[in-house]
Amino acid sequence: MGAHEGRPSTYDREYIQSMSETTTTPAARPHYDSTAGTSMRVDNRKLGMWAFIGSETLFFATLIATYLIYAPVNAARPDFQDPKEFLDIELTTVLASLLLASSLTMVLSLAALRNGNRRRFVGWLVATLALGLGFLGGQAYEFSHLYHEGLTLESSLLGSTFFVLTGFHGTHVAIGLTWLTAVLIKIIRYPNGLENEMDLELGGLYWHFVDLVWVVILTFVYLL
Amino acid sequence: MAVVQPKIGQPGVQAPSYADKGGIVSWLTTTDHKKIGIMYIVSAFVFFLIGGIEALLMRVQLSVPNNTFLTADVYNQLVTMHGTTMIFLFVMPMNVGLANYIVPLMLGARDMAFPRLNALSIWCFMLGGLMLYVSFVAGGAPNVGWFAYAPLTQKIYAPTHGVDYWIWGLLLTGVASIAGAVNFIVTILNMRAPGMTLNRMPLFAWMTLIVAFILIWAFPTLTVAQFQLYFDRNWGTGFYVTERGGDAVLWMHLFWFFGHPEVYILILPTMGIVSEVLPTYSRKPIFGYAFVAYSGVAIGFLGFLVWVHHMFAVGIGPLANAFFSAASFLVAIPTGVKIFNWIATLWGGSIQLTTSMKFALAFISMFIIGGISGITLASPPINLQQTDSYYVVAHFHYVLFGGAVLGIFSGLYYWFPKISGRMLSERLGNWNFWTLLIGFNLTFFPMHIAGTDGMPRRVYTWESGMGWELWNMLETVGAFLTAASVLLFMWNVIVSLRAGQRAPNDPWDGSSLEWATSSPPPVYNFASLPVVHSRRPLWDTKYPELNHDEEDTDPQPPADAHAGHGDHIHLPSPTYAPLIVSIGVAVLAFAAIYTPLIAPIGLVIMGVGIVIWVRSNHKDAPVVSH
Amino acid sequence: MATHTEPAPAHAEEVHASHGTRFYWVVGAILAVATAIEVGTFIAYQENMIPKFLEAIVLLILTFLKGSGVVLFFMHLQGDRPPYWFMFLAPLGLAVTLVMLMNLIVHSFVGIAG
Repeated sequence: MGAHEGRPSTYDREYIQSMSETTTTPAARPHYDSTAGTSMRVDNRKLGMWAFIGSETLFFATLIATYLIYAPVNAARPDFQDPKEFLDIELTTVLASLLLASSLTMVLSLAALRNGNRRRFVGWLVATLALGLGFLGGQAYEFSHLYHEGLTLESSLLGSTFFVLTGFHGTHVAIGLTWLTAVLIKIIRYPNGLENEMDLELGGLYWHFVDLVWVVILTFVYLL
Repeated sequence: MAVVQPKIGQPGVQAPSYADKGGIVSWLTTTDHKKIGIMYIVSAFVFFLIGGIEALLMRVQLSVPNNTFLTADVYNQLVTMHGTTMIFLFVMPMNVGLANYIVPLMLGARDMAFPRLNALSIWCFMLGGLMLYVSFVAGGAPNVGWFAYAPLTQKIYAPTHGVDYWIWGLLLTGVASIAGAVNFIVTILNMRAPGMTLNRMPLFAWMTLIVAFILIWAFPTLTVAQFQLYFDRNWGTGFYVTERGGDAVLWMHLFWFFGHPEVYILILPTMGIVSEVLPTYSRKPIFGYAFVAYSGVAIGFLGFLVWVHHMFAVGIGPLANAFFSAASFLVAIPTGVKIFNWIATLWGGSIQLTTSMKFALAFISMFIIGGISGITLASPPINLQQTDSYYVVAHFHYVLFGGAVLGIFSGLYYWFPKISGRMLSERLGNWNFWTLLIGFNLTFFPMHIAGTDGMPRRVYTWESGMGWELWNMLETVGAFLTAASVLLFMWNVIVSLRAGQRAPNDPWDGSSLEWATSSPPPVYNFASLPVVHSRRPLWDTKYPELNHDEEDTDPQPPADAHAGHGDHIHLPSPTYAPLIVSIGVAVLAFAAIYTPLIAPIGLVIMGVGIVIWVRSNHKDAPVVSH
Repeated sequence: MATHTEPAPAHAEEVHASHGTRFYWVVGAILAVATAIEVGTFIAYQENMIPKFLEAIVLLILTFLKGSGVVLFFMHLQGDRPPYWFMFLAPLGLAVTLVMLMNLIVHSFVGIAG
């Protein structure tokens, strides 16, 4: 994160801009081209963020693989606990909707910032945080409910795989909320920062990824 | 080609030597890839020595049958820490250190894409390494092998905190690795000098890029497996607890899904080093540049599909075994492509047998030997004989020591002048080389024989009367000879740093951009950004009369093509933030091992560090104006 | 590569040819509907109205569509330059391979006796 990190040095930009016609975009704000002088015409931080997301994809894939591998093993054991019995589809649907909605509000927030509409940017971002908090709260409620029903980390392979998979997902949600809150505060404090849009976009990419993981978890853990 | 080229070189500014740079604070707060590279190299070398001492202790124990020099548990701790140290704390960080220092220079960049993230990597690495070693005095080091097979790693069989230290120490170094890999990916893809297409990039940069991708895609699997093991040991889950339905073989799958790409992470950078060294000392361009580059890609890709060859004796089934055996044979092909291209590079060249060159040549031959034993291991029927014997130990030491370590020494001798400003002694280097080569072969060649004769691995004693006595004694002697050679290398370094001949910019008449700077380079690397027209930009500048047939031709550059020189050169300011964040993460790791009560402390420290980090965004100081 | 004059759209890649906000609402609505169909399919199977394989196919297709919607439109991969596509699709392919291959191999374990 940061204004100058990864941005090519001044001499690069001067060289490139002296060679090109830089047109100003029709946006209301002066456009800051963070890809100037780069080899692939991409933003360093955005490229790094996608690389990190690729890594996280493998992380969750391994967790999901473990869940799927142990599901039939669990089913064949005396301490078998059936996910269909324990997992409540109504609560789950609500949670999935909250997270999907938060992705929508996230992208609306970014669009608002890009259009220079500060009030909407703050409003949609706060909505994102609220929806995300709602998801976490619902997840916490689900966990405590399951514990009362007898599904715990120790009770069966289902308990182990389910709680570790969804627990890591929840942790990522919490990190995302912290991150987006920090971005919100930062943009409010430094409203003229040239890198604000990218800051929000990066946080948004992480947030959408966390939602994407839940889309997959919903199907493979709760539904199938 | 009458093209106006900027003068690549330094303005009349005296390059600051690192001796001038103020004290420890400048190192703790640095974001300069060169300083960070040096810290990686030095700390990696310290871990090399420690891992070597662990090896010597094991060799003493194994020199005679039924020895009582070490107890079984101490031996198990040493064998675990030796492997973990050499892989995670020596070869990987040494590769990263050399790449950190050299690759931005090779690319014509001022620094890495994310300098503060770079600093986070070095501190997380150091703290992770320290954490692993704290285990020795905190109840015992991990004693389950570097591969930590289940269910031996469960609390009942490994009751000390050792395995937890193994998990969290490596999670910490894993953070460093993944952050570093993201950094390299963005730097190499997006911060090359104008004109330097991917097809013109030095091969060391290519290999570093490939390795970075392998790393970010392979490490997460290890991370998940380690978390699962941690939860088994501390939170009551049953991932690898047989009685609860857990599958020890799943651990092996997840570990080796990471572990096999890991060995390519270890070797590919050193193959990149050799691909730089050989052309320079043959006074010829690398033969088959594209083949060497793309075979690296092929190795990286195939490397993800062969992991079961570490498990042929587990009973996966003949169909699966056959698939993975075929894939393992297949991955030898791109490796062979590289070797033939290296040989073709040497062919007809004007060979200069510097120490670095000798190490590079030895790399090729020793790696071939290791590759051949690997081929036999790739065949499941033969593997059933050889697995868990000293034959395997011979194989991986030939590729890792004979390969990676010799490649590292080649790189150290090659780039030492650039980094330190001094030349290493060729006379001492010659002694270093031959004693190391002989010592290494004496240590590891007999292991092929002992292993084929039935000596098992991962044992702390062995029976007399099996015909293994001579081999083990030779191996121990060889190990001590190797150690003496390493001491000789250190002596070379110390003597040369003090009184070695001052190194010019370009002592080897190299072709890549790092040689266009002073030795050592100034803090801002390049005053004027070089514009690149071929794979050998420096030879273009030095020998414009040489008519090299260009693989890709430039359109006529614009008439006023010149590298812009800005009025200011912006470099990120030094900051404590990465160090503070790393300390916070380390506190979290200790909280995970001992008590969650200190976790909030770790989070607070991290939070403070992050706030400082975000604030320091706005404080970049210009360094040089002209 | 020598840099020539860059026309605005090429250099302005980071300024997204803006989808209006209505577009995002439409995508959001489609995702909501897809989720509803997923849950409906699940319930249909639970009530024995459809066979398992049909449920599986429908769910997988819908998951893929929802995931694509999030990645292409919310994460704006559509319209982004190729390096970003590679950064996501390559590990995704590896991830799918990992999940399928691991499942296949672990569940076909035969033991050393063959």
